[in-house]
Amino acid sequence: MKYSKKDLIHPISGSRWNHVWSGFVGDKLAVLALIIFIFYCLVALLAPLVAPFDVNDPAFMDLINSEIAPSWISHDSRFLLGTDAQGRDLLSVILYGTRLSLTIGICAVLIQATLGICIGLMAGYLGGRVDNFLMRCADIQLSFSNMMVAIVFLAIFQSLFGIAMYQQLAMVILILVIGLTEWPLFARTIRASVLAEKQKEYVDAARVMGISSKRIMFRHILPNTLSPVLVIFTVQIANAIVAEAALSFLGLGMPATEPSLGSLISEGFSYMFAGSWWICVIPSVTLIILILAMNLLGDWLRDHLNPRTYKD
Amino acid sequence: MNLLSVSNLNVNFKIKKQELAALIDVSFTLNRGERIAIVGESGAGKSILGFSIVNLIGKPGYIKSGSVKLENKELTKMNLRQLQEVRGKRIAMIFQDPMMTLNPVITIGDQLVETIRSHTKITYKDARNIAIEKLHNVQIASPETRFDQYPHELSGGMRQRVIIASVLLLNPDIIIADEPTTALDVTIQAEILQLLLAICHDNGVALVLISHDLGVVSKVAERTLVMYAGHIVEEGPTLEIINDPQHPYTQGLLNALPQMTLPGQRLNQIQGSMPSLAERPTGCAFHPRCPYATEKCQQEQPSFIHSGVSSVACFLVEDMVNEFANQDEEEL
Amino acid sequence: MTTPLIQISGLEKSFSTNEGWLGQWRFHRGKLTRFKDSVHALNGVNLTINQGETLCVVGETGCGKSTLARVIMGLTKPTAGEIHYLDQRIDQLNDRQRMFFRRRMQMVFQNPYASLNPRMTVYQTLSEPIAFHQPQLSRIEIDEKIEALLDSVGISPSSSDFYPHEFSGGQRQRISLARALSVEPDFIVADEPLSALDVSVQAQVLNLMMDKQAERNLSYLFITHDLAVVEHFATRVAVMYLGRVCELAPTSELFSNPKHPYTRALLSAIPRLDSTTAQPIRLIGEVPTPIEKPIGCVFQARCPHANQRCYEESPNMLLQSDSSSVACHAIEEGRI
Repeated sequence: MKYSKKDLIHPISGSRWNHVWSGFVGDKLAVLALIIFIFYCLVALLAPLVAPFDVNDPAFMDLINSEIAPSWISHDSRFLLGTDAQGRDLLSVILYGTRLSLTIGICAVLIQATLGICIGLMAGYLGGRVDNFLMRCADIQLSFSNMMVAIVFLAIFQSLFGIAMYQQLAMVILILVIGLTEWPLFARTIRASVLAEKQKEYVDAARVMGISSKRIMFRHILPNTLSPVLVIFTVQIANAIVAEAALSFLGLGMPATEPSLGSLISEGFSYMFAGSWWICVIPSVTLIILILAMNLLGDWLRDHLNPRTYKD
Repeated sequence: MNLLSVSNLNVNFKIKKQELAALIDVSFTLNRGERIAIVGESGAGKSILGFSIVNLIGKPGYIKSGSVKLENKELTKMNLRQLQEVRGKRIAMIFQDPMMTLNPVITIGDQLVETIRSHTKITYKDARNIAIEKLHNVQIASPETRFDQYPHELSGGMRQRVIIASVLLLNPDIIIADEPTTALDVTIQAEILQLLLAICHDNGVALVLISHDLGVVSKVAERTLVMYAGHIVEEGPTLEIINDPQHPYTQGLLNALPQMTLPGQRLNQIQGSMPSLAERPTGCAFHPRCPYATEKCQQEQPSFIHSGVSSVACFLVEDMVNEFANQDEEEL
Repeated sequence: MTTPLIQISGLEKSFSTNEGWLGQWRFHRGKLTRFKDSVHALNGVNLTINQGETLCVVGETGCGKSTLARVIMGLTKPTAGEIHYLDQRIDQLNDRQRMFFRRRMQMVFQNPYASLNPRMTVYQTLSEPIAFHQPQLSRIEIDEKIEALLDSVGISPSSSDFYPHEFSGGQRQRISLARALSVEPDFIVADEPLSALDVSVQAQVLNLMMDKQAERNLSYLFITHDLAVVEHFATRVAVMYLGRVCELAPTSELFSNPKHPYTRALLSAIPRLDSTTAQPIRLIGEVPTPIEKPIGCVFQARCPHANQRCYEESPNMLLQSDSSSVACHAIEEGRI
């Protein structure tokens, strides 16, 4: 039966992302934070092209050049930000270090997120004993101090396999250690969202249609639970970078040959009071700005992606 | 003098630099002890009208122009302190969802006592007695036990009764009830409506009932205002509106009820749907859906005219009324 | 006599309210005993739905009508009783075995804002069931089917790439109905599909449902609390209270001659436009929650005609002379 033209009503178009975008552009702090973050990412990606010196060049580390102050103090135009104790150009090292830190941070969080989302989805959707078991696992994981676990594991690994082997695998191991310990945060958040979404009728409709549980979980429910995950994602990258920096500061992170920002800060710390403050301060400032930008982004996202603002 | 007098009230919403008109030239009066109903579908603006009477419209909405007079005090010009004297004490509101009004972590008794003691200086014990008496008045069984219970321990109907009791504590002149029974079961709805009627009758309280349910309205209200897209399109005694609707929208609304068609037959539907705030058409707001629309309807907005005991805003009715007037003149 | 499409016998459903296994154990009179608290949503429901008819289920909160819908559709398993589709028993099937029946039985829900996935376009929502149940169709055939479907429910096919939040409540209900119809079912359960809609929109959606019934010879189980809709649309009506059916009658008989005390109270409480109804029959007390499994008649607490037998014995459905069935001792004994 054909309906008359007057009944064919056209919907009002305008996606919800327009709303978010216009809110974003209006908030100058958030825009600034995003710009800073993108700048860091670009720099990290293009480090080999942008750095004035090639870090891997053996002539890079020349003790003659050690501890030269930044160019606005020493007027040495070769090294914009000065050099460290081993004569490496601080700017190049920081660029490569940022690259390492960001890579480790993002990869670790990707592992956390994948693991956490899968576990959270299953726990939330399947419920019952599966839910109980998985959440108890999460509780056990949370009861361990992640730093402690990381330190113990890394120390044991170093002593078992020796420094050389460790230095080769450092990045991978760091990513794994940070990635496999923080999944409960994602799991719990996703589980809470899944429990809420499970009550909604579109899930019932999919079940009534005969759609398999797996497809319902990943195709129907997951896209609706991603907003809080996006918020956590940004903040967790910041946390992972800080965790890696802390571990490197303790000497258990990236080796001195492939320094990340944390290792640089650690190295430079002993020179702080000897007068060469720039070896510690400049990488610290770099790190702080990065973390601050990510946290600001995360905060803004948390405020604006709140599903309650999209009540129909 | 009218107890409440609303004239040419215009309420706008400022969204993203756009001015959207939610209420347009709304006018009506309310006398002491009178019960009127504001009827319309979602988006018509009836809740906004209820809120704007006590100036409760929040940003981005604001009262653009017009006046709301309580006896002869202008409510739109009052500051917060003066408004707080009016709200609750002279004009009270009952909302659809009692859980929104009741604090879930305070017992209902304590909430009532708090209301009493914030307006009068009496002891807790005396306030408690008054509260229990009011609970008794709204037909809550064993009010002493209920006094110490939390809102979630009561059913929906009971909570609504508690709200009515709390509203009565301050002896208001007007109660604005925004869909008070929509969320309740049918048998409970009937009792709450009876209660409201009895209370308004016993205490001489005027009632403004906002609803989309014409059946509920017909039991409670003496006069009805029909709203569509921010305008009042028809006003008159409830029975007149129900038995002899004049505006094409009111007619369409009543015809769409299942009672109006023989069982098994297709219902009479009104084509299209109510325009949203941003999509109001020029001229008469109803013309895109009206079976009798003319070109005049597309261009000009009709004003209120008297037709019998009702008032209608419709060019069609206006023409008919003029025609009858001319006919009468000719006959004379 | 033709086989009824759906046959429900002795259906019971209880939900456990204990918090896990440990919550069941409590100290009672000095001994550790096991308590299984449950909510008894359905307490023995017998119903049949014939092909091409509309059975309306009415009742208030707590009567179990939504649970009934969910059990029939296989969203939860019943605690006891049987459900038959034509002659096959379907309540104890697993997901794989149920697939055949999923296509024949579909559901429309109450809340238009939650029954469509907010992250899927209309096209995706409609194409999924079609592709799932009819995998042999090509992409073009699916497109054509969706276009025809949307057109037939009054949604412009060009808007199939829009998301649900861009449509109004009535339009969303129509899309939900289109989704249910996309697999060409014989039977649709509609759980209060009009309650969240405005009056004029209700008329549109109800007309649509009636048209589809005529077109495709659909059977409906229509759950609602709006008796005007029931009077207009239903072939037969079942009145439920606390998980049991009190009265089951053809529509005209129910409205002209209601027998069960609850039905009478319910009908008198509806505010009708024609003010010919007398004072509503007042029922004592509030609508109860189905926590305790009732001994005797479920309506005993609020019934003005309850006697000793009503407190002890649960009445069975008895067929009356005008082809309606009532479960009431007072009717049986001729007291009312």
